[in-house]
Amino acid sequence: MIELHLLILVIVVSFGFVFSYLAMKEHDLLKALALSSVQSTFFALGFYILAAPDIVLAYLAIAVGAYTALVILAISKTERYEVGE
Amino acid sequence: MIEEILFVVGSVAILLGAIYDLIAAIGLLRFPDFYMRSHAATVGTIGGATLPVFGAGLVALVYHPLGSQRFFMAGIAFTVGVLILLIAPTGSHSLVSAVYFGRIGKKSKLVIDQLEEDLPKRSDVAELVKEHEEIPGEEEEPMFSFRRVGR
Amino acid sequence: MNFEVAFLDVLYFSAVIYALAFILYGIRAIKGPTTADIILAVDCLSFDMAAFMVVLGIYFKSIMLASGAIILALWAFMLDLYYTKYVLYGEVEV
Repeated sequence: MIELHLLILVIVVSFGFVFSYLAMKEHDLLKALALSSVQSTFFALGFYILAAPDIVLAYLAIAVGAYTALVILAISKTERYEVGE
Repeated sequence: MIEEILFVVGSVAILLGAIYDLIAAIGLLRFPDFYMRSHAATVGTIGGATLPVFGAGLVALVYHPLGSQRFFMAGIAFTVGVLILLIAPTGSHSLVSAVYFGRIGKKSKLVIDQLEEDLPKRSDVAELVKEHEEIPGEEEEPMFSFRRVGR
Repeated sequence: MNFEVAFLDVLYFSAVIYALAFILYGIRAIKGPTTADIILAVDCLSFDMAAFMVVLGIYFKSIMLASGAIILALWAFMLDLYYTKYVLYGEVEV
């Protein structure tokens, strides 16, 4: 019987890949930030199943906390929508 | 005897929490409106996260393969349960108030809406804008700007 | 009553349902018409992942793994507050 947590690892990492692609193609920067936070939440569970608790602690504080705070601060100072050609 | 009772209660809590979680996910996917989706989300956080965490704490108290570490595991589980019980309603309430007062998305048809008189009307906003309007041409154009240049 | 065998059955049943729920939350986050829907989906997803991390920590027999759940629940709450302050007041003080 296949190990169940490895199946969950495949699901989680493939969803993280899809969300990183969507965040790259988005023109609304706030929406791109929300999609990026979904991706980092999925990857945190991936690192957890790979049995790396130290990386989980560091990755959550950086990718869900400090990154979103800094990017929202930058968006509120400048412009929300990307100027496209 | 008491260990079997604790284990069965904890296992039933974990299974019931998983079923709550699936029901909340289906509701979040199928409901047509943001406010109804927030109803499904609160079912998912309280029934789907707090209940299995307390059940896992009860299971960890009597789970002998963990050795003497099982009390630490139960402490972590109860801490996470109390934190989610405090945090999840606060976050959902702040998010729904941001959507209502910031007028994001399409507003659904409501039977009664008693908060509507608190919203700023269009005439008040126009007066505020007129008071604080800057006279154009007085300040110099900045050399470099992130904002969109008019075409 | 053997606790280890009984807990394996509980874990297999609940892990399948949790994985299905994660997939459905992810589809809502992809579809979501406004940003608030995505933030709501992240909220549910992170709290349920914290619950799943505690259950998996019992299965892996390690208390170092389960301590990530506290951090995940707390940081996901900060994301809500940042979004609310940006939408209502227009600026964020970090």
